[in-house]
Amino acid sequence: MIRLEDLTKEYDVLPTAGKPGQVLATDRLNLEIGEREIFGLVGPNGAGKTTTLKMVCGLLVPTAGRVTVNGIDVERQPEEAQKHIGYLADFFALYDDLKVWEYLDYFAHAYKMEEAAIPARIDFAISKMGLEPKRDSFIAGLSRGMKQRLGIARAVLHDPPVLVLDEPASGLDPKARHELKEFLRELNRAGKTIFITSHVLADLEEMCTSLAILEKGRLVRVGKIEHVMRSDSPGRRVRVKLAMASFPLADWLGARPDVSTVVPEGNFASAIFAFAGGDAELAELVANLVAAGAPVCGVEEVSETLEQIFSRLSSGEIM
Amino acid sequence: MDIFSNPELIRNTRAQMRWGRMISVAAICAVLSLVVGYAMAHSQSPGDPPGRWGMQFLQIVLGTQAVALLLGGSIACLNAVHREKEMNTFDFQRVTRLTPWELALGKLFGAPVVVYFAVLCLMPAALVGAVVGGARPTMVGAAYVVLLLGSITAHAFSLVISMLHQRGTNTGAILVLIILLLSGASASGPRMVFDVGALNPFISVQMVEQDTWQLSPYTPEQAGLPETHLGLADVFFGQRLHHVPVLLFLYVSFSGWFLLAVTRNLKRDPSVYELYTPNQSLGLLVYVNFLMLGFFKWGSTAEPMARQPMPMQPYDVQAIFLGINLSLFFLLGMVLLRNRDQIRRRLRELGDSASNWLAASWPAPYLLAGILLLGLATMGMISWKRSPKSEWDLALAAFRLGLVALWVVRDLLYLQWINLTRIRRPLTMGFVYLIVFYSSTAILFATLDLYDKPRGQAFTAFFSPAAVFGLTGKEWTGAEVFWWLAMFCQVAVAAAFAWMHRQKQLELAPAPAAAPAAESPLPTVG
Ligand SMILES: Nc1ncnc2c1ncn2[C@@H]1O[C@H](COP(=O)(O)OP(=O)(O)OP(=O)(O)O)[C@@H](O)[C@H]1O
Ligand SMILES: [Mg+2]
Repeated sequence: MIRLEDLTKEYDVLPTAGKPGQVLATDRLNLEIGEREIFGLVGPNGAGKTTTLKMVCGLLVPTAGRVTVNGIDVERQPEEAQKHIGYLADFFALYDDLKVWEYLDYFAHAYKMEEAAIPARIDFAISKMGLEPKRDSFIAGLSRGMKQRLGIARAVLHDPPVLVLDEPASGLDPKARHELKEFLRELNRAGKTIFITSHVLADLEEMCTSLAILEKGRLVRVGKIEHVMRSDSPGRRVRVKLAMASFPLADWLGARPDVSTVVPEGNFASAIFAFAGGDAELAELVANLVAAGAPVCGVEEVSETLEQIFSRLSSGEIM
Repeated sequence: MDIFSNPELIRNTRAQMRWGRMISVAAICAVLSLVVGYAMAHSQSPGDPPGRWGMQFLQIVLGTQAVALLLGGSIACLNAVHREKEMNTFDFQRVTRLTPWELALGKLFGAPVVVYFAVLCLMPAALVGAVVGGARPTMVGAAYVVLLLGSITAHAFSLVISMLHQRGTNTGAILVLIILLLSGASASGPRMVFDVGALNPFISVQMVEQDTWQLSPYTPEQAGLPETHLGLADVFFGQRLHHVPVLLFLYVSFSGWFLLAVTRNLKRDPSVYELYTPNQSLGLLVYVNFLMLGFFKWGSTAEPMARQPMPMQPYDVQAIFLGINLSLFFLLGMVLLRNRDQIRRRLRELGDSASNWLAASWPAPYLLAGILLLGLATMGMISWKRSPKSEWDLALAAFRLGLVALWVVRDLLYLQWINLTRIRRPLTMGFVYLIVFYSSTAILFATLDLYDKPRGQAFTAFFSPAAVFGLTGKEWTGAEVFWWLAMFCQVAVAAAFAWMHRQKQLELAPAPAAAPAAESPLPTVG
């Protein structure tokens, strides 16, 4: 659906002492986002996420490489490609002197929607974003989060098959954030492809089907979410909990050949470790542990959160 | 799409024309109309013809409308694109399916919509004035058409500026525009050189006084004087034309050129704006030159196309054309200059051919071809129209043309080079350096009395070829070698800047055989 080929963007910056006068915001990115995916792009500040999304929408011309959306070259036929895209920028402003419904009405016409379908579609977008009470208010009087909601309403208004969202959750209250997540999932089920960036990794982890980690303009990791989440932990990760810290759990675990990277937790009454064996071996390990006198009160498999993977893989440096 | 359903126009109208505002604008206009009308009707002196105050009232109202449309409307258009960029709303317009034309027309008519409304509110007053003053209805109608189209031209130009304009220079841009408008406002200026009446839309104020569509019966000599009464006749290649259709034609064609620039670029990434393609810019200059050649005062207009002696010396005429073209080509050259982004993209797309010598001489080939072509056309026209007794040597004329052409090329290659350097606002700085260079050399040469001696003049031309405008046979003889050296000097400097330009290009080339982007094989998606 979206395809980036060797996508490169070089910016000029004013040279300062010891720094080059140009920044490679994205460096030969290759990425393929399939239909009906929710593709998350994460990375530290200045990694090049916004730059990438803007090139996808045809707002920035790449220095080299190309982007196709639905098979259409964005640089050659921007209007054709933009028909398929709904875009939300990371920072934006709205027209303060318009009313909420007028704002949406403007974009509905600008996207050349069918005249007859427009009122219903505006109502839908307004109610989806919980803006009914503000329908006839001037935008100037909206709060930050309401403006964000209106921005999202605008992006989905013309029912585009591809949504490109740059930090859509910023400024939203917890409930709205949750609703946004549900809404995006719903859109995805209805067949939309979503390309999204966010710094709230837990949200992305919950809804993305695929993920890429970008750092200093390069991809450090990309793939299906399951793939990214487990690929380089050796085997499964298991947490064992004891009723009290009376047993040298870490030492006992560390002595076993199929256990690695033991991380004691809290008051040493529990530990997380990587385990190379299967279910039968795990059962045996637990039996041995109990037999050795450990007051085991819980065993569970844990997965690394995206947050943890991210901080492990990314240096977190900004450019 | 029909203009009234243009979403951008509707948005502007909705945002600016709330009821409260409309009512206050209408009220202000009504009060002003009544007060001024009443005052005019009562200040009529006894000797005046009975309807005289009506005509004056009409002119005052029309003048107010003209000021509102030209200044108010232009300022609105000056803000139309750049405010949206500054406020960060422009990207969302760019990603909609509005075509550049729809967006441009929506802004062109939408940004000044309040001004249009105010003008409409003043119409009843104008109508009263026209009826009382016994103005000729078709002439009043024509005056309004002139005002409208003239304003649209100014608005379209403002849109171009608004689109190009960078952060933080807004007040400057507005000032420049106002000065441009006002400097075009003097009614009698162009008649000295060109046989064409005033080009600014304020002429509509004088038009309403005309009671006939007949071409002015004045002789060209009288018409050359500053007119108190308009002689609405222009002369184009010997043909006498009424000024109104000429004016409308000029307005429409220039609006077209301006809108072309806007629509070509409005939805593009600003870092790759290109006002016109090289061919379009050349086309624009050919068009302007065609107009200038056509309207130039070649001689008497009594007998169209008669072989009458020109009122001016051939070299002076050539100097006028060279001088105007010098500035026009300077502007054209600026349009063609490439910035770092464009060079980088060319380098990656075209490879080595984007950094060869031909690329390094950009935009010289276009400029040379254009100036020489238009310069030869002027020379041909002069040779045909001049009096046989006047001094005119084709070879020397060609030399003058060549030197001016190389001069433009030299300066633009310099600007192209500096445009690629990494200083803040390279073009502005490049311009400042040029101004400093020319003024300091001029002061120096004047102090050294170089301008008084033929050889001295030729010597100054090494640096600043302005002396070439006064170069005739008298100055030429005895200083030939110096003049040729001056020409060589331009070539050498131009070549030096082309070389420096090339170095900049090589700097921007992507590093060859860099490490592959992703060292480790990435898990693929799908
Ligand atoms: N207009 C610009 N001119 C010069 N450099 C720029 C410009 N825009 C971005 N950059 C640089 O490009 C790099 C990538 O910026 P980008 O905005 O894409 O990052 P991001 O991943 O969206 O960061 P964030 O998480 O802060 O939104 C940064 O180093 C930034 O300094
Ligand atoms: Mg960003």
